[in-house]
Amino acid sequence: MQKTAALDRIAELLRADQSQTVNTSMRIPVALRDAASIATDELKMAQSTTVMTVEALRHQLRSLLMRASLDEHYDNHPGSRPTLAELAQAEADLSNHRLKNQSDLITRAAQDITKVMQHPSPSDVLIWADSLGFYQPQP
Amino acid sequence: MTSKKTKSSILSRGTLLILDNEAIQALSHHSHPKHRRMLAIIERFQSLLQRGFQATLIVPTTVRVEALINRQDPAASFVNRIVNYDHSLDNLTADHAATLRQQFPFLSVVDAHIAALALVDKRDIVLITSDTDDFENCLSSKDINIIRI
Repeated sequence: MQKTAALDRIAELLRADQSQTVNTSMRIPVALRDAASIATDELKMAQSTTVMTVEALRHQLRSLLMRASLDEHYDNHPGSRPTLAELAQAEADLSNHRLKNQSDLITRAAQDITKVMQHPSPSDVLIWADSLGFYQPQP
Repeated sequence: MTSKKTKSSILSRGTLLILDNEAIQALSHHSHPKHRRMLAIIERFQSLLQRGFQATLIVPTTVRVEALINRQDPAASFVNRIVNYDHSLDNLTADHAATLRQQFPFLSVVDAHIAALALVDKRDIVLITSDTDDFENCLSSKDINIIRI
């Protein structure tokens, strides 16, 4: 199966009816099984080890599918890859960061930080932007 | 200095991210002027998933109709992989949507579906939209993070 077809098939299966189930054997660490047993049976923190495993698997597949799809999209459309400033702005928006409405400051921080740091993350940019804002002369 | 995180910050656990018409169109078409902006949001969303945050990306079915997105269309392949869930207009949401349209006549059917979903769902809501004013107006009763696309 080619990569594109495989990704489409994973997306289709994640959207499909999830009510049909199948027994499967899975080798997992004994300690992990025992920890899950305490969490479910003793502490009632989750319905069952099976439910926890299925949810974790679904979550991980969604994340991997999204990552692979974005990477493939950038291969096909290199100009669509967001800049560091755009990623930092998105991070500020999603996290309701107090600088989310100061896009100029975020853009400046994204430019400045690369002079002193290799491969900064969007969160690094926001910390840098915060410090820029802090030391900015007040009118 | 850390920023204040409100209840509807996506950094809390159990968050629903809803896309409106322009958001899903921007995601779908690489020539859309806000395509990169939308991808930046999806990038940060994926980063949160990777770190274990329980967040779900959803598009109401009425939004898909307005945005002309048919999941069976091969051109929808990219969106199908990124947006894994639809929200169908069920009885409860339809009742809320109808009430919202009575209260806020400026809401379209599609926007009323989005607003009703935001009100009914128990998770923290993040809404990506081009109509921030309308949604801020009709959703002022709930703490929702409304982000302009």
